[in-house]
Amino acid sequence: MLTIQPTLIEAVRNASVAADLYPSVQSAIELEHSTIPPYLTALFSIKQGYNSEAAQIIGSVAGEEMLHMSIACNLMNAIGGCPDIDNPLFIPSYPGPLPMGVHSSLTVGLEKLTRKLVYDVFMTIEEPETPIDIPVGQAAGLQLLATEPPNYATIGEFYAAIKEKLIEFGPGVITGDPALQIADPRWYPLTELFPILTLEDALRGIDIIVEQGEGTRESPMDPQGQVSHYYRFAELVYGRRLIAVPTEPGWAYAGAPIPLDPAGVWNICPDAKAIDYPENSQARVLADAFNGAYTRLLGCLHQTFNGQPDRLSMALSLMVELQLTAQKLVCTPVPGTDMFGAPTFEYNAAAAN
Amino acid sequence: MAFLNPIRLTFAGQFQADVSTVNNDVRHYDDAKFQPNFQDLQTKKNPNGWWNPTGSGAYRFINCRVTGVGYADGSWVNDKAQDAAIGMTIAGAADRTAGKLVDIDPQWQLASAPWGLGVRLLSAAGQVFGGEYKNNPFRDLWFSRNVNATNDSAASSTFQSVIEGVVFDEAGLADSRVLRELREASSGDRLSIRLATFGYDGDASSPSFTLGTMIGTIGPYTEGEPESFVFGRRFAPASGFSSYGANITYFSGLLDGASRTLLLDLSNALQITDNRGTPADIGVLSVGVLADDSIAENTPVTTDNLLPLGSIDYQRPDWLADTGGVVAIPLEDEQFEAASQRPLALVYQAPFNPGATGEGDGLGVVAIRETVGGLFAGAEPAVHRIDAGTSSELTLWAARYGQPLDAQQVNLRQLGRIPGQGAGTSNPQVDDIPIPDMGVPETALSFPSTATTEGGRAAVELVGGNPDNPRGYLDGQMYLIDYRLPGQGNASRQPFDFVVVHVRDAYEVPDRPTWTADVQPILQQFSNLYPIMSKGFIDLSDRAAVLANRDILQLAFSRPIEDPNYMPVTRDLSEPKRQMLLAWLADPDGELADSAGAEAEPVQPGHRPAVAPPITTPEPDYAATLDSKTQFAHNFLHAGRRAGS
Repeated sequence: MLTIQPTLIEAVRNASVAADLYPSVQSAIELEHSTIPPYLTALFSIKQGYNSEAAQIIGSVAGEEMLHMSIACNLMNAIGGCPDIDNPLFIPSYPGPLPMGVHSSLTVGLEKLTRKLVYDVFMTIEEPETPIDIPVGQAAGLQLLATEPPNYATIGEFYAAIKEKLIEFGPGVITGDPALQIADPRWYPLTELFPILTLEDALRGIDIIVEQGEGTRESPMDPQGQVSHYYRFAELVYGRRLIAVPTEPGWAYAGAPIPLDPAGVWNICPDAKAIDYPENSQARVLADAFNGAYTRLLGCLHQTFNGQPDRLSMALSLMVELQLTAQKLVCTPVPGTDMFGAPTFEYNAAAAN
Repeated sequence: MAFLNPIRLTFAGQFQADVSTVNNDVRHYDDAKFQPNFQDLQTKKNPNGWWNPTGSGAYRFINCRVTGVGYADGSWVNDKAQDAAIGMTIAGAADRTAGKLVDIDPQWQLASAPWGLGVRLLSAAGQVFGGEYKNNPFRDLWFSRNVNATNDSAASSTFQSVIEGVVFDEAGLADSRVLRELREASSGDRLSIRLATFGYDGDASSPSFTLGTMIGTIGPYTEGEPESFVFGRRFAPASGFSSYGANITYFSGLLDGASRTLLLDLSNALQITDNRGTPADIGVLSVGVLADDSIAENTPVTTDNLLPLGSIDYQRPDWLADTGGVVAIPLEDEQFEAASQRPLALVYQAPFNPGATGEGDGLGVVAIRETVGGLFAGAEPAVHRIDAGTSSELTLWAARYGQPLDAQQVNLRQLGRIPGQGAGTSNPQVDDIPIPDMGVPETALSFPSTATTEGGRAAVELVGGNPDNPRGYLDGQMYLIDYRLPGQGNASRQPFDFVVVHVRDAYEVPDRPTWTADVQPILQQFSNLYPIMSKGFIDLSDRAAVLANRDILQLAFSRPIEDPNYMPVTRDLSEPKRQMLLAWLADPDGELADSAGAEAEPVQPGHRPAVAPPITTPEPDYAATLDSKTQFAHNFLHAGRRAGS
């Protein structure tokens, strides 16, 4: 479970006007974004034509994290704040804790896809406060590495506190310009990404973030009928799809197999920085190009959520450039090693563009 | 004056041109004969898809920094303490995908142009100015610049254009005199820019694969001057691409009356010995005015027939990077008067030539000189894309010794039929694919055969008819237009300096386009030619994949052509065919009703076809045996010799 500093919950609870919530909602935007680089790194490490089920699982979760980031930005605009995205400090340094995180709770890096990575890190990020104990065909033999500090709060509590505070402020908390809201049915169904124009919209948006991640207390499914992130990652770890069964608790990891062929994963450098790659190497050129595209993507998203909604289409084009660059990088040898280049997700305004 | 101005800033660094090479052989456009291995990297035995089949087309500035600046008073500094602009970064656009380098057609690969390329000057604090490079192609390409390299890596060329929509940041100007002067001197929101590019690395096994060296100069743009060339003094070798002995290629210069300065653009002119641009040593080099027009290249000169103007310190370490190859020579009044009326020349002290050693009255020999009669003709845009039944305006310019020629006749003619262009080396897989002739039917492109200048310029209309698919597997036809002043010989014009026109076939958008009859034939060709897209993202030949990505394809096919994301990247699809694709995407085969009301699938990053693009890891014995531009140019020049033109 992703544990966060209790003071962050206090800050939400102590808010007396909407503006007091801006830092908290900004943290939520940063947190939702911060999961995307590790997920995408694992996704890009999959060789094309291999491990398609695993790729589908990670890609679908990453796509929903992008949705959650967008919802959080809509929320920020709805309560009169401004999302701050085009900023070097927006990106966490990997490996390290996620934004808001208790430092010792979880270290998140940028690594190739392994079941251990998904179990240790991805499932911890997405773990509900009370996970449903769903039987697996055999014991996983893996233990959560994260040790919980005695005093922590959870991300679920954080979002619950924001909801409570919004309800306390009442419908008048929605003061933002409706023109700043982003919703485009070409990329996300309007039931998931919608303009936040009322308090109810705001609460519904937060529910989507929480439930797509964690599911509900009663079910591993989210309200859209999809397996929520934690259990979706568990499918990958246990190698079986989650299916409904007649016995308690009603589900089991006993469906179609989800293979993970290690030969179908590029052996990319873990937790790399562009500067690690020799200055005159194709890996460096590609890593710089990747970081340039990533930085421009953040700039474009910043514009999108700060009054230029039509910039969203350019952001999508940048995502394609990012993907195509990453696909070349992961099959480019790093000189002097037996490894291949990994995307490094660094802010680089002057990089190749 | 454009960039060739006392007020200018120079930058140096690298560029990336990640061009795709499957389309470098015109025969790869024949879908019926296309083989899967045409998407593979070349091997020693098979050219396959040449040296970068998975190129993205991206064109990028890499590590480009301002190295020196010049002021209106003619002074020049390259010390950071003197002007804050020095050391700043030149980069592409801040908030979008990379610009693309685009050829107009596989049958004319000698006019590549950047599209969607942003140009920004960045300080540590942020952007100082930014704008858009207008899509003018390179000029003055030559293949023997680096004496220690071969083929494309020995080549060099210049890109001159304007940066449009320039916005300066006020705060950024405070510490930079050159930026204040630049803004003051520019018309409207435009600046002039000239890039010189060389040292390109097309060896897939090399660490610097797809990179090359870039030298740039940015100056004011003045309303009414050409965008893509210097309207001034033109230096030309007596024959071929470079002069005898000194091996200097075509370049331009101008006299600035306000500052009484001769400005020469040697960014692309002198041979070099390495990829960084260290000039080859040709001894003492200077510039002067010839006594009369009869003094030819490689002729010894003395104080009797040459008025010296000044020396060129090209041997100074890092001269090219520091100065951008721009030479500024302040002139006395007498020198200025002479230079205004008589041919200019570079002279050098060639050790093997009589009179060249400086003994007696010898000042050296003519290394390269201005064109005969000081005549210059220019044309822009150099590249035209014309749909059947539409037209495009061409502007012609004429000057003598840099002075605009009024009421001057300019002659234009089509080159006519040119066989055999745009193919690679012989290879059993492609040898039976016919290479279409260029330039026919001539009736599908019309324009007046003469034009008369007014104030140095004349506009003519290029009108596209219907070529009616003379090339079979390739849309429309390519035409080359020769333009020149009466009396202007071949040697005064760069051998690739044509107006290039792609006239597209007439096409009527069907009421209900279908995948099989209309869409697939077009997308199949793109799918074949651009594996980075078809294998790395969306297989355009697969109807289901196209449907699944309908929204993003609609977006790409409906961008303005200047947008870096415009599809197709090659910008070779006629407007009616693009409209047909959009019509089909809007209602694929009339099936939209079936899917109406269905929820959009959420964005899912990382989706791609099951079949991967070929991985471009060269074989251990990989050797880059093909060079695109070199080979293309060789074929073209060979055809010219055969045709006796």
